[in-house]
Amino acid sequence: MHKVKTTICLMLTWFLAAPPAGFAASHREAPITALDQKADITDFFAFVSYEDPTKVTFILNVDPFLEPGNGPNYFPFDDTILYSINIDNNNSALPAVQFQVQFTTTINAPGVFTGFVGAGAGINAPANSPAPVAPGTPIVPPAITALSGAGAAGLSLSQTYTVSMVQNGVTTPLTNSTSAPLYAVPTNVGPRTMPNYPALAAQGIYTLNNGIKIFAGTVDDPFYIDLGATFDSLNFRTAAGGGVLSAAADANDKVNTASDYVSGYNVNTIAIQVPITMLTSTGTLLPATSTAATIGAWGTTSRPRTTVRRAPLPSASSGSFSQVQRMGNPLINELIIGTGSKDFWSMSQPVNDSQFASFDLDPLLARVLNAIYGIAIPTPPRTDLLPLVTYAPPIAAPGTPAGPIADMLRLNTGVAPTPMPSRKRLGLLAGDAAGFPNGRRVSDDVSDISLRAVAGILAGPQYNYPLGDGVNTNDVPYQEVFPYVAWAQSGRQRRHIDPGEAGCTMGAGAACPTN
Amino acid sequence: MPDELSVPPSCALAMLSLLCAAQNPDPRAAQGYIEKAYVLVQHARDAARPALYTEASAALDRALELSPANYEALKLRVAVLLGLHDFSEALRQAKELNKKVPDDIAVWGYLVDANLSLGDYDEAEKDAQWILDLRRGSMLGFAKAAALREAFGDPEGAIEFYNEALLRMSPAEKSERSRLMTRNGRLQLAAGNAAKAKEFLEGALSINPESQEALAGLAALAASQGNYAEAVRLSRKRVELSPGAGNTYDLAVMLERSGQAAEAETEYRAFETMARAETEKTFNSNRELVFYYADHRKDAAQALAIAAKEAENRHDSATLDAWAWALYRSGKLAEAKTQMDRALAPGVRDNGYLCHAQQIAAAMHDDGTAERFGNACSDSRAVAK
Repeated sequence: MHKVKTTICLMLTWFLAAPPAGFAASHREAPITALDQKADITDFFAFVSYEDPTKVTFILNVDPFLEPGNGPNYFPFDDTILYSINIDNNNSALPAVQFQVQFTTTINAPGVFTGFVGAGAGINAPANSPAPVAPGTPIVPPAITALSGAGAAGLSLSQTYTVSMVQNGVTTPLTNSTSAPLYAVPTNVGPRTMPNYPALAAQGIYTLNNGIKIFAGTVDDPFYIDLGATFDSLNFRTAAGGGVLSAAADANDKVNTASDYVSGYNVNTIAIQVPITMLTSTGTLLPATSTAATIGAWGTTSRPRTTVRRAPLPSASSGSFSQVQRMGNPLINELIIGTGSKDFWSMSQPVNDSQFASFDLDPLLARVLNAIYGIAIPTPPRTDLLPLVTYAPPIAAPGTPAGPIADMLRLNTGVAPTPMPSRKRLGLLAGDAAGFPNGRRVSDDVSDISLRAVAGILAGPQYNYPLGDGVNTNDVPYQEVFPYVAWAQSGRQRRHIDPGEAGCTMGAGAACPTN
Repeated sequence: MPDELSVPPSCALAMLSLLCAAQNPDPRAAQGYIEKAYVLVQHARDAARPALYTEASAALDRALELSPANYEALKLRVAVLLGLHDFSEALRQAKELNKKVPDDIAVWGYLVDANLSLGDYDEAEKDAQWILDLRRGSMLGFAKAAALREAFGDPEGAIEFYNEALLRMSPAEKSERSRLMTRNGRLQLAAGNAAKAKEFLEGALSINPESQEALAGLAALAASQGNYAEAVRLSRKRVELSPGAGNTYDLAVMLERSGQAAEAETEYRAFETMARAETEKTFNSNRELVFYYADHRKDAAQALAIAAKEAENRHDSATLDAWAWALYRSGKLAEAKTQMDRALAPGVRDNGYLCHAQQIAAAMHDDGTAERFGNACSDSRAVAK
């Protein structure tokens, strides 16, 4: 595997001459999702699993900026949404394999005013309890230590889910190897209610019959960005070079020189780890040099549709769901597509993305960067951006059919994961072949990478500018094992690290700059 | 990389200048004309007066001179074209706008209207479905889908969606609220629910006392109950408010049914003069003219010439029904059946069309088909249009 990775690195030689960086995920990036938060995809990840290179992990994050203390109902998944992870394995930009997830909510204790409650071994009515509640009657259930059964009495609200694989038009339910229901992991309410949250959350990792692992629940939002500065017309902090990082700041993946606006927030996640043999068109593990090794992946959310025609009248509008949003590469819709077309883009299929070529081939953002920083940018049409939207080297092996222009995350499944000490936030642009845009890991700094890609880094080293927001790492450490994201932040203890506050890097070190 | 990378003091201004590069030299000057056109279009719809659309069009021309790419003006121009029944041009311009701004549901609504009027029901359905998908639960989506359900012969479904649209509509939207209530009243009347029909139609008129459509609906309701005096009174009021060819024709029909032959003849003659004058225009009363010549003047050749010409541009059920009827009156039964089948193909269950289909089938000695349409003819006199 190491040899294969070296091959890919060589393929990237021209590309690596300059260190690139990019932009951030997509929270509320289109009118339709600004109106429909539960269906809003914040991020989509696809990478070869760190601890098992024979599997790929997909992570679909939805429902942005969940304030951890925001009870009493917290953050259930929406029972009416169809969450889907779609994989193209034949360069067609059409889904050859899909994993579909749907949730069911159960109210276990309809008289209780909060979704999750518990303390210690439980609290009973005291001696002075007024009638008709007799002293000793259980009032507060024991702390929540399990997703079901003993230790789960405090889950006034719980969610189970089903997952299906769709392949060649055939839908196959994927069931728990123990046959037990799959429970979504609730958010971390706080230490009294959930005294050992990591242990509770870990119970939500299930192994399905065919070796697939799955997890669904509320987790720390793994994305990091100086969101306020970015959307204040790229008004980046002076300490972050005003958007042009110093060499030292750019080289240090572990220190933030600006505030992570997503710090202290949670998000809902569906993570699924799938054997590569179930994903490639050959049904085998392939070397990175194989033209069949690269897959395309994207996530979607869909809702039941109201149709013009009523059943049982024949309908010209087929399908019981309509797509609300999709995401492959981060920030395409957020930063490239014009406001008047964002919903159209969200509801369209990747295979039809050539209709958005005018946005892709002369991105307004590039011209804004040109105007603000005076930097030279490539002359349109920006064909240098094509590797992000077609099957092309350096991600796909030479000779791989390019397929149509389509926004998907391309992942060469033959590239081995990079060990943590060698992992680079700038991914492929920094010589880390297992990072974005070869798939996307939770730690990849797609904000900086995308900024630099739009500025022209893919067109050659003359367009290599150290653009960035100054946020180089997440506010809490990621996990090195499935589901890789950090567990949900505590509702009682959470901390947003805002401008001017001490501990800009994971709560430690220098204060976050204000200006 | 440049030696110095500086952030200009006003990034927002830089972005704005870029975004506005292709836009208006003076958008504020154009705004007055756009607002004037908007008011005229609203009034034109309520009063069914094409002259007001023409005025609106002139205001928009001026707005677009001042601000050639003004999106609101371009949108309103499509509304004007729809009002003037220039559906082909409205469709062309709406498609252009839709390509520029695919997330604007108002433009999708224009596409529905144009395709529906031209008889391209498949496209109209796709457009309406897109609105329902794009803005779930939107008033516009339900209203457009309701119109399609009518066209597809699902009046109960149409009523359901009109009600959904009404629930979502601001009380301040008097004109559109009145229009949807009138549609619901018409459907209730066709379904034989006179009390419900009255409730909706009177409600529509109380919201918008100038509503031509509500007055026409109430006249049809009165006629269905044999109260021709009231039907004539309402029809006269309608003509007083808006003395157009179509309204005059409806008055003549009511007078004829009420037994006032001489007065009816006077109105028929007035109608003929007005309708002949506008027959080459997009906003015309050619459909009424077809029935006038076919049934009243017994001049099938004239009726057929007008119907065939109209059908060159539109293939909606109403146009095809008129063509089929002119063919029937001309003795061209096979062709009449062909066009009638086309008219009914989307599924429409309008008693007027079904009555024509029944008579065509009977003339062709197709008793099975004639039988299938039951009492359509007796019902159609009550709820015609």
